[in-house]
Parts: sequence; C-alpha cells; structure tokens
Amino acid sequence: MFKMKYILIFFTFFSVVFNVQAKTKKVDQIVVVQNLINQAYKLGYVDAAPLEMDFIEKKVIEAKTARDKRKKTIFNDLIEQIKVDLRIVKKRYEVNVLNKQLGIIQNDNLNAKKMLDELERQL
Amino acid sequence: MKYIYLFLVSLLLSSMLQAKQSKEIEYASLQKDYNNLVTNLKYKPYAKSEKQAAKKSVEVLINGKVKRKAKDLALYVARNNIAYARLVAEAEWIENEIILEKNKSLTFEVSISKAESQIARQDAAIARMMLIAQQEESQRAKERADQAELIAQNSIQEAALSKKETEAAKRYAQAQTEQADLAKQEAEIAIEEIESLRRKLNSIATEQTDKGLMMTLGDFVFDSGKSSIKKEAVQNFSKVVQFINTYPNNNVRIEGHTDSTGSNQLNLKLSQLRADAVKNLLVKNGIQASQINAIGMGEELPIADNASNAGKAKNRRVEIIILK
Repeated sequence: MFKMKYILIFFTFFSVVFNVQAKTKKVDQIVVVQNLINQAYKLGYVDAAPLEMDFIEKKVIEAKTARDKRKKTIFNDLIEQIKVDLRIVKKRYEVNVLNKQLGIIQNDNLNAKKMLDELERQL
Repeated sequence: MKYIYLFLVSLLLSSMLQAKQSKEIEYASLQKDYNNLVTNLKYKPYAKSEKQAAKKSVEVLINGKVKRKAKDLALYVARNNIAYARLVAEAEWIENEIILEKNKSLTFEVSISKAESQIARQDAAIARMMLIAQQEESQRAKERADQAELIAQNSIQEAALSKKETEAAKRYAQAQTEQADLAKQEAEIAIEEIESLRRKLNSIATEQTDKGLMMTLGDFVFDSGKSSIKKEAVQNFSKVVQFINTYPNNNVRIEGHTDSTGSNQLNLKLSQLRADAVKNLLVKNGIQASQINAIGMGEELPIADNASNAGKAKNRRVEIIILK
C-alpha cells in the first residue's frame, strides 16, 4: 500500500511535468513563428512577397486550429512549412534589395557610359 | 456479398495505385525542377550548399526513405529547398553582377577622369593659345595705336610746319608785296625824279653874262656827294648838247662850283671833277674836246649865302659858258 502511494505520486508528478512541457513547447512554436512574421513585417519583407505572407498568415491560423484540436502532426507540419516559407520570403526580399542595388549601379554605369561617350566625342 | 468485397478491394487497390502514380508524377516534377536548377548555367557556380541540401531532400524523398506520414511535408520542404536554392543562387549571381558592375563603374570613373583631365588639358591648351593670341592681338593693337599716334604727331607736326610755312609764305608774300610796293614806289619816285630831272634839264635857262652866254646846271645833275653825273641826267643831256652845238665855232668853258661845306681843297677837287665829268659827257655827245675847257672853282665864287641850305644848294653848280 505504501509503495502504491509513492508510485501514484511519482506518476502524477511525471504526468504534470510532461503535460506542462508539452504545452509550453506548442505555445513556443506559435510564438516563435509569430515573432518571425512580425519581424518580416517590420523589415518590409511583405513588400517583396505579399502572396507568400498571406499564405503564411493562413497557415498560422490553421496551425492554431490544429493546436486547439490537438492535431499534433498537422500542427508540426504547418509550423515547419511556415518556417521554410519565411526563409523564402526573407531571401526573396534580399534578392529584391540586391536587384534594386544592381539596377541603381547599372543605371549609374549607363549614365557614366553616356558621359564617357560624350567626353570622348569632345576629344 | 463476395462480389461486393471484391469490388471494394479492387477500388482500394485502384485508389492506392492512383495515389502512387500521383506521387510519382509529383516526384518527377520535383526532380525536373531540381534538374532545371542545377543545369541552369546562370546559377551553376552559386548556392552550392543550398543545392546540396535540395538534392539531399529530393533524393531522400524519391528513394522512399521518408515515412508515409512525413512525405507531404518532405515534398513541401524539398520544393521549398529548390526554390530557396534558386533564390540564393539568384542573390549570389546578383551580388556577383554588382561586383562586376562596380568594377565597371570604377573603370568608367577612371576613364571619365582620364577623359576629363585630357579635356581639361585641351581646354588649358586652348586657353593658353587664346591668351597668346590675345596678347599678340593686344600687342598688334598697341603697335597700331603707337603708329597711329606717331602718324597723328607727324600730322600735327606737319600741320604745324605747314602752318608755319604758310605763315612764312604769307609773310614772304607780304614782304614781297611790300617790297613790290616799295619798288613800285621807288620806281614811281625814280620816274618822278627822272621826269623832274628831265623837266629841270629842259627848263634850264641861258643868261647873257660878261663872260658870255651861260647855262647853269644845278647839283641835281650829280649823284649826291659825288662827281659822277646821274644816269637819268646823262640820258636827258640833249638840251645842253643842243645849246653848245648852236655855237659850234665858240670855245666852251665849264666851271665847277661847290658850297662852303668841307675843306677848300676838297671842294676845289670836287668842283674840278664835276666840271671834268660834264666835259667828258659833252665829248661823248659829239662835242670837240679841244673846244672845251673845264675848271674847278671850289667854293670861291658863291652866288648865294652858304648859311642856309637853299643858298648852299644854289652854290653847288656847274656853269657852261659859250665864250665870245
């Protein structure tokens, strides 16, 4: 009887810790992706990939729904998809920035070429 | 009932087969997408690690090493990896292009700088040439101005000279005019004198004296203070010659007289010379020299008072006497 009491206490403790840990983990993933999304908005990534950002927002909602329905696999898949989607959005934004830089330099070079042609014509 | 089970089993198998075919098509599409990425020459040198990751995810999926439940996610991730690798490759390609463009920009900058400096040198050379040309032009202008000033000065000098010459010419002309007037006046005076002399000579009267018939020549016949007879008197001496020729057989006595001015000896000599001059003139006019006797009487026989000029003038005379 004495042993049974300790065994029950142990299992209760283990169960509580496990549940808390599991719940904490789920909440953290949503927070993590939400922080990433907020940062993407803050940095202006949405301008580079508005459609992707829309899909990501929908996936966040789906993930929350899955979490609420305790569909762990779907939730994990969605979280993973959101992360890789955000990676794409970020890179697309960087590509856009680089394209703009390249465009500016190319435009400058075009003007420089015109100027050089004009100078060579004067020579 | 048996057929129903068979139908359901066959339907299940058919749907399983269809699902498998669908997956294979998706894998083939994935593989193709990956192949397009790695064979794209533009992206070939870029995103190597990302390509490797994409390759790994595709291979894992195709080789069937993924659990059935995880296949959808693996497929999604694999597609995403390929897209990401493409984006990374694009980004690296752009970065490389930026480097190339920047190099090109530097090259342009250098070329522009060179061209600008060359143009600046040309401009400077042109400016120098223009400056030299301007200096030369200003020098020429200065020379022209100097020359013009010189010409102006010469003109002024010439004008002044011309004015002086004109004034001198005027003065000379005036002097000439005055001289001409004077000459004219002198000529008129001379003519008048000649006329007066001629009238005097013509009006010389003769008078009967104890010595004989006498004609008196006043001192107007002689040059002043000299013994020579005036040229005009010589030319009008015909009256005297005519007078003597009236008496060709009589001897003629010519007596010279002076006033009392000067010494007696000088007056005697002057009177003799004047008497001789009359004699010589008469001889030249055809009178025989042997017929004439010329004597200087000096101041000894005055006919008027020597105290006055009028008296002295009367005393200065030559008397021509036709002897009886």
